[in-house]
Amino acid sequence: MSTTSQPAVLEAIHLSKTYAGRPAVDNVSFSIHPGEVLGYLGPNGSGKSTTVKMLAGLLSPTSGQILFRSERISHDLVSYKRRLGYVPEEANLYSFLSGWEYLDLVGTLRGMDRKQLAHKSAVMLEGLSLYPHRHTPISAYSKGMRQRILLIAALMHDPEVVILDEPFSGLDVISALIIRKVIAQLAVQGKAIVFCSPVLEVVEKVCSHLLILRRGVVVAHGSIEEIRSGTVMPALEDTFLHLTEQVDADKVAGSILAAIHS
Amino acid sequence: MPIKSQAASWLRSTLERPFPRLVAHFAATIFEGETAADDAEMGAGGLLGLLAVPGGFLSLMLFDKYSSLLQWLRGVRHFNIYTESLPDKYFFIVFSMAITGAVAVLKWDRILPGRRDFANLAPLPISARRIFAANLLAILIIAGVFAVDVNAASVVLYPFVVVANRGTVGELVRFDAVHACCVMLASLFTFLACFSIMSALMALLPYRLFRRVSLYVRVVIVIALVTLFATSYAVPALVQHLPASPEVALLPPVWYLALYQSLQGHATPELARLSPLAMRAVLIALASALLLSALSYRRCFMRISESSGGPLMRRRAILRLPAVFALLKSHFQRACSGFAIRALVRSEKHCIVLGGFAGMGLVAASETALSAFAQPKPTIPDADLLSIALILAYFTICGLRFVFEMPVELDANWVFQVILDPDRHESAAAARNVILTVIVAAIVVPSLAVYWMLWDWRVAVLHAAYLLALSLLLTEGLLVGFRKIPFTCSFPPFRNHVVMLVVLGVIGYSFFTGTGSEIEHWMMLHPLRFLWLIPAAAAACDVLRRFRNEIAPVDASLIYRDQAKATVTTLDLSGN
Repeated sequence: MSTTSQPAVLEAIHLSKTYAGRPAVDNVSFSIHPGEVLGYLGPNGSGKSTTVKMLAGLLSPTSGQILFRSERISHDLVSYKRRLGYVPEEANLYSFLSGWEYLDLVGTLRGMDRKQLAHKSAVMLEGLSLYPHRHTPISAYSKGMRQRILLIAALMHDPEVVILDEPFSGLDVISALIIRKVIAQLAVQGKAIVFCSPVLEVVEKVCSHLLILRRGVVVAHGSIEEIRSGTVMPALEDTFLHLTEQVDADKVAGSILAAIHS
Repeated sequence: MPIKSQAASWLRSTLERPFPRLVAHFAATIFEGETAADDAEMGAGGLLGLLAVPGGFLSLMLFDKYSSLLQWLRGVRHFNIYTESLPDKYFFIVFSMAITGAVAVLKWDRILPGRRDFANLAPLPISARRIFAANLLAILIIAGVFAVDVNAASVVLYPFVVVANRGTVGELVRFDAVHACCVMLASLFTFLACFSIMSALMALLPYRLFRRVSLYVRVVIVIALVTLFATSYAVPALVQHLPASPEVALLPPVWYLALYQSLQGHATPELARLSPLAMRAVLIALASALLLSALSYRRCFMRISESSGGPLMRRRAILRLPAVFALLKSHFQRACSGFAIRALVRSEKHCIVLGGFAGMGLVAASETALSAFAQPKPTIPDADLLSIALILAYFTICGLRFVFEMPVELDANWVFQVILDPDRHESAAAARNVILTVIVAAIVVPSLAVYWMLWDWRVAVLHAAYLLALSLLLTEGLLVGFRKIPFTCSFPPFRNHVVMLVVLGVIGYSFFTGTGSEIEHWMMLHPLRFLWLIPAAAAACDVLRRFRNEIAPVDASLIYRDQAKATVTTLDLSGN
């Protein structure tokens, strides 16, 4: 599904972000071509969310640049945002609105035609089993329901770039399966997708490419096969632990159990 | 070990035990905000500090009245501080009741343990009785802290201001003790009464109905408090002639004034008879608070796990927006106006604050209406009669402008940040749509009907047109420099210049309702004069437009975080 012969849709070039002098993201570069799903992996505090916020135009990089179709996004941020679908890590929604009202707000802000908005909302709500709950306030929604609303809001304007920060968080099996298929189809249609998730199995199933981050620095980037072959490890989990120098899980589990019994 | 460190060690070890820890947890819960990002809430220190200021400020303002030198210069030779201070004592009592009541209403949802407490505490090996006892103790401590805090400054300063030049130290101490006792009892009564009302509603009504009714009750309490506050000017005079107006004895602040005068030995026989009511009221409020909170706790807290969506849930949230919104061509205006209307209607905090403004308007308008309708009905309404709707409009517009600054679920505003162009926005237009929708629906249309019924259609239409024009001008004036989507920006730093805003508000009120109604009456006498309204409104709009254009290039972008301007700015002239 990846078409690397085509020009990149989204590029990050030497992207860095520092907070009070401390680098959160350091010299990160990558590009996404039409049809690619880039899995963005890294342990907690590795700079994933900071990168995602910069890609979504919510945060300005300290240095480096982000290009959308070879143009710096800062030159015309609004035009870039029009082509962007974004699901944030936290499902912060206006809980006093109903699901339908929230989609109406987002669709109207995006300038969508009212009839088209109503039609798309209804179909997508139905597809994700939310239609019967469309008039229920979001405050009564479960985490998975909120996540589904976020996904609909991010996709209903048919964006060219989709940034999904842990989109499966709280989703039930069926919804997760549907969303996985939707992502795969979007990739086939030529969308560029950035997919952040801490669940390695999901990343393996969804993504065509992988970028692994450790302490703000890229430690691996390429197709999943390339990364696996680079570390001579069959399982992605082992590769991830090897690259990010995570602690010995058995050892830590042992010390926790010792503390429980002490 | 020295006594001081022994005491500190005892206090530390006591607070570390489970029950005191639980009490401290509930006390802290009452103060905290809904979310970490909810800037509208302030911490315990900030809130207590803010509540303590007005009492001291008001006491100092009375120096002028009680200064013996100024009295002598005014030619006053006989000044009885105990009877002359009666209006001030009443004011301090009403003030302490109003402030404590307002805090109780604003912290209403945090007074009793809720779903979050249940989720965290129920799995722990703590009995339900223990949780209830800890919560109740925390409430009583908080009630006491509020009572002391709201009145602390006036307890120290007011008796000093009154007695300093005239009495002995003994008199000062006695005055101080009586003042402290009465204002704190009044505060305590108000807090416990509000708590009892809430507990009674919780004990009697089903969850969903309680949440719905609770909002209206809170708005009514706010309006009642504002009304009580408004009695500060009229009631002290009536209290001195109680037999002529016995209804005054029904007002709780009068009971505490009676106690005040009785303890000082300067009560009239009528006041002396009323004074026992003060203590009885506190005891009854305390007893009912204990009983009703036990009932409501048993009914609600213990059954939280049985309820699915929590107490705040509604089954369906459908709010038909005004049809006129669908005609708006701009997507920005349509989306943001609809969002603001829904936020306004569904946020309890905003409804209550707006209810406070509406309450002030209702009190002021009722006073004007009562005095105006006491006169024979004129063929053309006079300035007083015309000012009633203007008063209501003024408070409503100012209230709406104020609540627009209070954020709703600030964490969720990322959706606007991700989608909107900050440099091309119509935030003022969206805010104007909401204000005008509320004004037309709540004031212009009802006043059109009332003036039509009382006079004729010409008077009604002219008055409605004038009211709408003036409301539009006021709205435009208040929205100069407005560059936020209502409810999406962190709380502004206007706490820093609140006194100036109040002064401007008073001046604006007098101009809008006083001068405004005089001009309208002048035009009403010869309706052709209403034609003057067109060039006058155009000129005013032009002035506002010029003013807006002058400030627009400086700061025009949409903002989501309002920050106070730095007191000291580094110019960085070194160029490094």
